[in-house]
Amino acid sequence: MPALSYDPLSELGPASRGRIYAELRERMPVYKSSVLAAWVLTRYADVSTILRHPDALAFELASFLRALSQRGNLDLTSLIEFCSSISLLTRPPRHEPVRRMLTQALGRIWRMNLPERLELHADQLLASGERQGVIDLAAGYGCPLALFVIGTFFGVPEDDLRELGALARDLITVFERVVPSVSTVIKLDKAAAALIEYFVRLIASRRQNSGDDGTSLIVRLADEYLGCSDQELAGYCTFFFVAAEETTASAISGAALILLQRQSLRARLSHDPSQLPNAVGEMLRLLTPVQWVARQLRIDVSLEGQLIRAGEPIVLMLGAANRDPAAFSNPDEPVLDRNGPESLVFAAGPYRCIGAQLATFEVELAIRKLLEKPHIRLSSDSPVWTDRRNIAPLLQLQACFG
Amino acid sequence: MTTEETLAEWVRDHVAKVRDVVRESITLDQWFSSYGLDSVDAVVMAGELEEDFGIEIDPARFLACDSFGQLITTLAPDIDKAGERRVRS
Repeated sequence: MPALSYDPLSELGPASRGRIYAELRERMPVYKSSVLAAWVLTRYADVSTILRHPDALAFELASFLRALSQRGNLDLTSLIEFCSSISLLTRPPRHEPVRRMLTQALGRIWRMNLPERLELHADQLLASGERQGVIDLAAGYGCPLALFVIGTFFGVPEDDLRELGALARDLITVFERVVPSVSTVIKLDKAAAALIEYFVRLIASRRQNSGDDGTSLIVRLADEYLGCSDQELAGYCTFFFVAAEETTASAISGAALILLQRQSLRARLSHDPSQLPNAVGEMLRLLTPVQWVARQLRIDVSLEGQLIRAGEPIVLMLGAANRDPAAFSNPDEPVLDRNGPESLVFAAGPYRCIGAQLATFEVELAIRKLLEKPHIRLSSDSPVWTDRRNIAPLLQLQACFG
Repeated sequence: MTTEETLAEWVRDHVAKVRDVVRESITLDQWFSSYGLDSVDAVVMAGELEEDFGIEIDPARFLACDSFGQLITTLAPDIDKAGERRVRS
């Protein structure tokens, strides 16, 4: 079998993604990429197996960065701290208590009048667009809604949100590569430093004056469950903020694109809004806002005739798995009455996304509000994508009214 | 000296320094793993090349090669282009 010569990650643009995934699933479902220095898995069954494997761990970038910092004589303190938070969050023994703490804290958001406040915010954004005749459903709808929710949760002042959002968008590119470049990690280190410092200050202020926001609750729960330093806690908060903001923004604007591209789907949902949860589930499956996650195994595992050794990085292509025809019939279309397996939008197994329910709620609300605007339609220059490949939101999704 | 020759000298110097061996023992048909080097060393080397030659290098391009010779052939055109841009500006 001839080796695939392309770099699947660089070439995974929205236009070519489907073709490349199909080729990989068909020809090389378990593929060791020298370019990525990792195994690449694309079939639903294989991806699902590794996600749920009892010996699977989240890929640890921190140890790579420590070695890079040492051998390259680079100061990557903040980025290593950020990645160490992810490692602690996703590996025993911290995994369980930190996950419990964050899940419990996130539950608080439902007692903060979030649905009403988010709906009001969506109405305001759409009304502003309607007055101007145009709206960017990415930068002017998906992004601000996602930022509003996570900002509300943490109790971040509105004036700080824009800057924090920009830093989060920088830092999330850490998930673009298993092996990042020196210039990239230096840039990421600056973003990590600024965000961690911000959350250290926010935590300190909540220690002084505790409130009813998520940060105050996290501080109390951390004291109860973890007994960790505020610096470590700031790392968890930074990760949570970064992971929640950009992925949900991407999901909202991507779902809006799917809706506005499909008139029959839009008509069906307008006629029968009870189908909205199924439709959003399918939109998320098609989009898969996080296209891949990386894992490592504690033991050797044989898959599709290939031996994956313990410790080797494994890139799990969630986007490819979610369009695998072996798991989903008619995989490239939203099928509202689908009876297939659970999609892997939020991964699966012990590291399944903590914010899955909240993110789904945000997308549903954003799409429901769009359905109330029957005259909105995509402009001819839409969509414009970012050049990122993993968490790759729309840069621009211009739409007009009337 | 051509760009490829300059790069070959640079690679020999770099690997000899990192592995603490004599530069004459470095052959260009070999690759990182032959000298006990890994992907971290590749990223460090890519970073130093970026600095010394004023080009941007995605580590993926490094990792796609299977010898220093192939790496040199891959990078030389980029370095020439960067040089032309500098002359023009």
